[in-house]
Amino acid sequence: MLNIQKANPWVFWPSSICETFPENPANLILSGDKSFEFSIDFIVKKQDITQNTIFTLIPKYTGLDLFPNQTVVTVTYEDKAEYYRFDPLIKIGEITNFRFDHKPKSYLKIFINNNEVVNEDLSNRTFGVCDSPHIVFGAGNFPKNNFNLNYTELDLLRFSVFQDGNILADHYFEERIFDKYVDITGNLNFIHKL
Amino acid sequence: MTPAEVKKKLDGVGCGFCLAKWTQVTMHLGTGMTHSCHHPSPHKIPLAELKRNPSALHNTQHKKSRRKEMLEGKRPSECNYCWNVEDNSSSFSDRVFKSAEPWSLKDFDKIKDSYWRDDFNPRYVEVSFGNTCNFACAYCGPQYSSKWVEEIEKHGGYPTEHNFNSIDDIKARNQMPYKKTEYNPYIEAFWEWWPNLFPDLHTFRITGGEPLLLKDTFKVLEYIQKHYDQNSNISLAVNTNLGIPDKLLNKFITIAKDLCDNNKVRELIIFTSVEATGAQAEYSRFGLNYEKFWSNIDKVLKELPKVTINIMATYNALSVFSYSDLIDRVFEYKKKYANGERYWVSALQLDTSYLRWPTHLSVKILEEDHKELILKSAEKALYYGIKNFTKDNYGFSNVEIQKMKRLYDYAVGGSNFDKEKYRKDFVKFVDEYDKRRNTNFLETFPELNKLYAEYSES
Repeated sequence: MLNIQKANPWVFWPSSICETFPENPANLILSGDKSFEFSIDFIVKKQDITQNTIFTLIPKYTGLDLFPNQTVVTVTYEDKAEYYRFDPLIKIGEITNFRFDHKPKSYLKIFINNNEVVNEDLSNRTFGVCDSPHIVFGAGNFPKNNFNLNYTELDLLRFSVFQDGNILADHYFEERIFDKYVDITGNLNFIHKL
Repeated sequence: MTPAEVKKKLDGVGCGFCLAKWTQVTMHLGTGMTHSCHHPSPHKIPLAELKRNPSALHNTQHKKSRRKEMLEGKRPSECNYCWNVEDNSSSFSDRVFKSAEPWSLKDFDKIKDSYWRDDFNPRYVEVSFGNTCNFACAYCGPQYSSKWVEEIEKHGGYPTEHNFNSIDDIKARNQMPYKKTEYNPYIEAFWEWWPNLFPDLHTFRITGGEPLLLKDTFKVLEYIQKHYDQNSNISLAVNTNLGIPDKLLNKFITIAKDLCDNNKVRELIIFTSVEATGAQAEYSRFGLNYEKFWSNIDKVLKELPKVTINIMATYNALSVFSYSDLIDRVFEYKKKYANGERYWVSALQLDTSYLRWPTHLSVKILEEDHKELILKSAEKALYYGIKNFTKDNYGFSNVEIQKMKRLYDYAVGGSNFDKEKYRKDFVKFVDEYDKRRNTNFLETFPELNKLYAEYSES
């Protein structure tokens, strides 16, 4: 388990350290032109009275945010961002599973605790395309940018990335080296502290 | 300027024009050889030219003829390495990169407008005062190590296919290094030229042999100490095996401290070498005391808080089993000595290059599962990596990691490498090495016992 303290976000960005290694970093597939799926198990430790970001896939903001009376899933498409608003779906102190399933030209489905909360037809729409996508956990942005931070204290229990049924990255957060959690698939898709 | 802009500018003078032929030199004073840029083979400096002009250590008639070709739009054939790159790929050749260096480009107009017979003081100078060395590393040879000369003069070359390290060929080519005690006209010429050369230098790098065993090294360092007002903007680099007597290392540290503390140089970088740990390192770098080496690194980094040490690792077949431990140790020292005031970002850097020659020590002779250990090492370095290679960080840089990964790609990459032949040579080599040096390959490298047994003729 990875306990993310408030104002100390972590990031899934394995392509950010070395240009040529790992050879096929899994963050690069999290883009509108690729097929991918990712899943996050987490526990929110505390909720603020304004806004808490669980995670965000950037640079084109797609993320999960908690407000006092609602849960908001933001998805940025090539044309515009959509805000899917729900009555609170996430209970403080309890395990939540978030799953994002994307097939270009076909569909985008989002599940929270196995309940489908988003199902978008992508036959005429494209999820945000970018060169070096990455996921920040526990914040809505990089601390150095100093805006839209919405820090959240949470425990990450598991994070996995799949493509066409193959697992590319898998984290139970057990082995930690120099502020990086080791990807147990051996694909070097580590998560590191910002 | 971008590489494309530099290339256009160079091509405006001639398709073979390269500033490094003027601005850079490596002088092997122990053998009397010189070359500008490491791609063309070194050539002998004629003593007659030296008598008339000590700058013939760089400005030989041979080199001037090549400069003439360059200024007349021709491509000197000795620079074939670059022509191959330019004719067969879309990449920029080293002609472009070396000309684009700050120590080159600023002299573009001066060089372009010069007459080919003119002498030119180089900006980037590498000098070896001789081959005196207390080590005889397995992959080194008589031209760079006096210990190797002693051994080969006593026992001859190794019984490998190409008679590894035989000095017959070196003697035939008149390239035997001068002994430390002999009169050396090249060193005499160097000292004659040096007062004129020093003020123009951008980078000065002293290599060996083991430079800190030679009085000329200390003489040149003391000169810089005394005459820094003529050039305090010099980038100084010194190679050392860090296996020299304490007295000499202390003497060097005292001088270096003065140079650094009083800003008598722009920077001082120390280059050293190691590519394995413990007994395996001591086997291949014969003469090394591994723990003493690290205590010397401790001493240098502690006493010289601005200095960076760069470990040039010549990764070979004997490195594979302990390189991962070396990475741990380097990381530990990066962390321990990070202080935000080093000349280069990191206190200690690990620069991994792969050995190509002697071929019998190449990683390509290894079993496939042993090659996977190289990848494991690179993975470890990646986990020790940092995104922002800045002075307020420590860890492995993008380049340090990339070079380890490149090594793995080289090891497993397809080629016409004759593995059988070189494995046989490898076994012949270690057998003879053990006999001459009273070492024990099989005890030191139990991981290679199987390979050894398979190719041993006894």
